[in-house]
Amino acid sequence: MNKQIKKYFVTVIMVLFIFCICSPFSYALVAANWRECLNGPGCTCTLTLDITKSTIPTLKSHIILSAGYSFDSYANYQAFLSRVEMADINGVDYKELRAILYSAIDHMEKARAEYENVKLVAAKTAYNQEMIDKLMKFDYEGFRIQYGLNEPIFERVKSLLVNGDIPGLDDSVIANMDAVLKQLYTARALVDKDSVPDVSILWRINQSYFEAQLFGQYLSEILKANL
Amino acid sequence: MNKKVKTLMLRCFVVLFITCFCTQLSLARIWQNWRDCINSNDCTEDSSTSLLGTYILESAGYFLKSNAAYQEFLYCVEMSESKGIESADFKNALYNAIDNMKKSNAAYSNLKTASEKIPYNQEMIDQLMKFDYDGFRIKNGLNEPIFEKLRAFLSKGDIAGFDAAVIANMDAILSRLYELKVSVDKGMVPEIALIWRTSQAYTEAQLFGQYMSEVFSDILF
Repeated sequence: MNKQIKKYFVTVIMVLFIFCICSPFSYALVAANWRECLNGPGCTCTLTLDITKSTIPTLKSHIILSAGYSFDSYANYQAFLSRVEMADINGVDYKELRAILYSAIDHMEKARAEYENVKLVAAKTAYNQEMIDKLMKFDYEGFRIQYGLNEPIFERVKSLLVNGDIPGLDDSVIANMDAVLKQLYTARALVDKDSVPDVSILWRINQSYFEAQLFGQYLSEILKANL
Repeated sequence: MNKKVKTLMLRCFVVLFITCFCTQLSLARIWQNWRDCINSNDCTEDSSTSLLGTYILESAGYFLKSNAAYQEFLYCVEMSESKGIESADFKNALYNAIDNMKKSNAAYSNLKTASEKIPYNQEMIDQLMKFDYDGFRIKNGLNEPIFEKLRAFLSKGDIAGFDAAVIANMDAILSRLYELKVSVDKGMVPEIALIWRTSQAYTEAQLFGQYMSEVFSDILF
């Protein structure tokens, strides 16, 4: 085998090796992910994270749990809406409605608590200035147009990132969850009395979920684009 | 019992009866509802009694179930980093999302076909064309880009275009769900970019239908 072919094989093997190492950790992360990249050097293709076994709470583990609970809550709420929508056909089972709504609340409370942990851990870790500088120079308009992102929500994320306002960003994530929770509590008070909440309440809750979810998703999308 | 007490009791009974009766009828209509009002002689508050109303309830119910399943799928994706790929969970959630979206699409296609045989309710269309969309959007804090898409159809009375847009939204979601299925069937987590775009398509389609219900509700009640 001549030298050129050997070199070629080595390159191919190295590329394959790097791909294999990184791919299990490049699993999709859907909402608010890569937030950990804003603090310290914690955002790399590392092999360290197993949140089920790790005893050291990391920014990343809290973010993943927060996002996971948040999706669970949204899933519960969609199931709740589906039951309400079909009530004209199938009748209303208040016991079932209560169970689903309580689950939505429970998951959102857990999501919020995990994000509070993100804030706490982040407060003890220095910011990643390089990343923040990138975010301040990022072409937000081009990015939004390229991917057809929803402008009002994207603008909210942009207004925080473009100013490097990371505490403001974290506060907004929690405020979004608080807005959902507050409305869920209102719905719960009615369902507890065996009453289906007024549709206008259900619409506003749905919109709050939508805004909270896209806010977190756009944050992930922008951070990923800057890595 | 004197007359006054009897009258008071009767009044209480009537108020209670009306309250109970109305509560049953005011069960929430979350998505695409009151679409049946665009076709004449088919607009009742109790949508379940009309043919179009039944299709709408079915379509909406399945759509919401599909989104619930997709959120479960997102949960699996998010947790895959820590728990690994639970192939069965992934598949179940995604297959559920696809199955329910197909049913929702079929129900709405039935609605469209049925609707084409019934004349439009011109009075309702006139009201839609005169409706204060900007005022309504601002008052209720609705998402502008999604609301504007809806307004483009309703303010022109373009009901056929609206129905076509609803089906196109579902088709777009389905097409992305099938793309996701290819990866999931191979035991792989799909590309994050595809997951994001599917997620956005769901939420936008849902708000599109929800805002339609909101506008109709405002005009009707």
